[in-house]
Amino acid sequence: MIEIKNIYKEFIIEKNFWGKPLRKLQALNNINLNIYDNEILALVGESGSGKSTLARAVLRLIDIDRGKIFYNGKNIFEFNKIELLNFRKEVQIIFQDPYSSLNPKYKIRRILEEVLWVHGLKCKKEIEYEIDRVIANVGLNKNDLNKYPHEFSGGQKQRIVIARSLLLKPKFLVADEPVSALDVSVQAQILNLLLDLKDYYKFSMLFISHDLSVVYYIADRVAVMNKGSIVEIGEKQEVYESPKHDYTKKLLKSIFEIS
Amino acid sequence: MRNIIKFILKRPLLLFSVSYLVFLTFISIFVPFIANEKPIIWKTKDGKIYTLFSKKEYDPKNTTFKIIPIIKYSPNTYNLNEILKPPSKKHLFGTDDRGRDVFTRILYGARVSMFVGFVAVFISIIIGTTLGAISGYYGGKVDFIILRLIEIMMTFPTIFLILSIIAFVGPSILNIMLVIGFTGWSSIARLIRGEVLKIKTYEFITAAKALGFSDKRIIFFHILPNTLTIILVYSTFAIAGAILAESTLSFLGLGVQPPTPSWGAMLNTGKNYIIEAPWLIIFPGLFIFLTVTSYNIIGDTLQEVLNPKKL
Repeated sequence: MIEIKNIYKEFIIEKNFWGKPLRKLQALNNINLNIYDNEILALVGESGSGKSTLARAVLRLIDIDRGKIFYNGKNIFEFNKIELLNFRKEVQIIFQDPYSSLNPKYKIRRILEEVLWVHGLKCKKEIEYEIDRVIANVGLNKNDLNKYPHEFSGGQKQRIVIARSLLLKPKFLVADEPVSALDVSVQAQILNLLLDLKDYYKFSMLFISHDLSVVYYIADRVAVMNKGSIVEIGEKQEVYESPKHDYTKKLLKSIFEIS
Repeated sequence: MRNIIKFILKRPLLLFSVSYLVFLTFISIFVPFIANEKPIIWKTKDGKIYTLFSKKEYDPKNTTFKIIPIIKYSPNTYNLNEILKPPSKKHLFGTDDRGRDVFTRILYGARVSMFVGFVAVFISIIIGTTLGAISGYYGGKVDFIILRLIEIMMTFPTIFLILSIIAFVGPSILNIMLVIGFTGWSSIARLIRGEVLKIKTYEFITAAKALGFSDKRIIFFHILPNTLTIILVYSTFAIAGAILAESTLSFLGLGVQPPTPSWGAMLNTGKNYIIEAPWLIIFPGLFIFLTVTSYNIIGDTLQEVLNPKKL
């Protein structure tokens, strides 16, 4: 479904007076990755390892320096307007911080409706129907539609964000640390919700996390990232039980030390 | 709403400012019905009904029925028998060098001040927010160009810039509003740019992009609504500034042209009679002071309550 081929991304941290870069950060260094239909690929690594940059590149939210990303066989950076809109419809993202991922000025109903407006749904009844569908899917109440984002708890907000991404029936979902801002009991609820929805909607997912226990719970395959490169990738069992790379071993050791 | 009223009632200065400005706005809208030598409505002997706005001259001998305004003077009618009369029961704030009632002229002058203030600030806010938002959102070359533009505008002392442009285009109330508006957008543009840079990094903006929203939609429906508090605070200060600028221009004779009453122009004529008739400058000056101060007090309070960045 998604094919990432040899991508590079560099951030310039410091420039001199003439605009020449003094210090650079190699955020993505020759990344190759495939995400197949109907699977959950987890991306783990410490903060600053380039996980979120990769997620944003896959969504075409940032430009990359070199390399290609294919979505269903087409390079996403060569999309025309219609293809891009379709891509935006089929590929969705969930963020780490549910507090800032909803515009505080609008009611939930307006936030959800707008997504459908942009993608050309005009009929009021259809919009109503679609919203009811996702609201029921994520386990929210119909009365919640008339509230503002600040009236909800973190877990509920994350449900709203998930509902928004489901409105367009996505085929591929990027979850950028979706549970790390939530407390543990809510984390489990959201993870279960994601798994249920995945079965229902049949999307594949790129799940980014630094929490290895969460990853073990949800992922099919695991990719380990360190300093902008993928150091190890494989089936979940394989990576957890017989890690090959030193960095993976170190990461796995760290959970046992804490718990 | 009840909370807002309670909040205002607890602060005497703010209460005064708000009620003064409400009063002034009311006056500037309804002043023809409050101060006019014609009755609001009258009936002639042949049974016809005329109002304030009909072209028919009012003739007291030919009238059977009338409703007269509270103050029975017009702002521009000379009365050479009553030149430079001090404040009295008949003329609350005295009369000027052509026998016109100063109180009436001040009430009509409020109209000019409020109108110029609102329209000029509206223009500068439209320009400023648009440019600021574009500059902050797109960044790069566009940002560079708009920032230099802002800096160029800021290097000119505003009042001299306005003066020199007015010297070119000629003084009139419309030109003044336009010029004050077109020269005053730089600071709001900078404020908005900074705020947009901040809001742009919020995840709901990234989410909007990932959902395929157009840039226009993101700027106008998602970023700008979140800068409303800043715009509100800025506009109260800016209105005060615009009113002051209009008064300054009119005082220098480059603003609203006589006989249209304007507080600044009244000060200008009053300065010739500063010893014999001090009421000619005291009262317009007082009203300029009260209006500007009221706007500033409201602006300060809004800033405290809504707590955006310091202007």
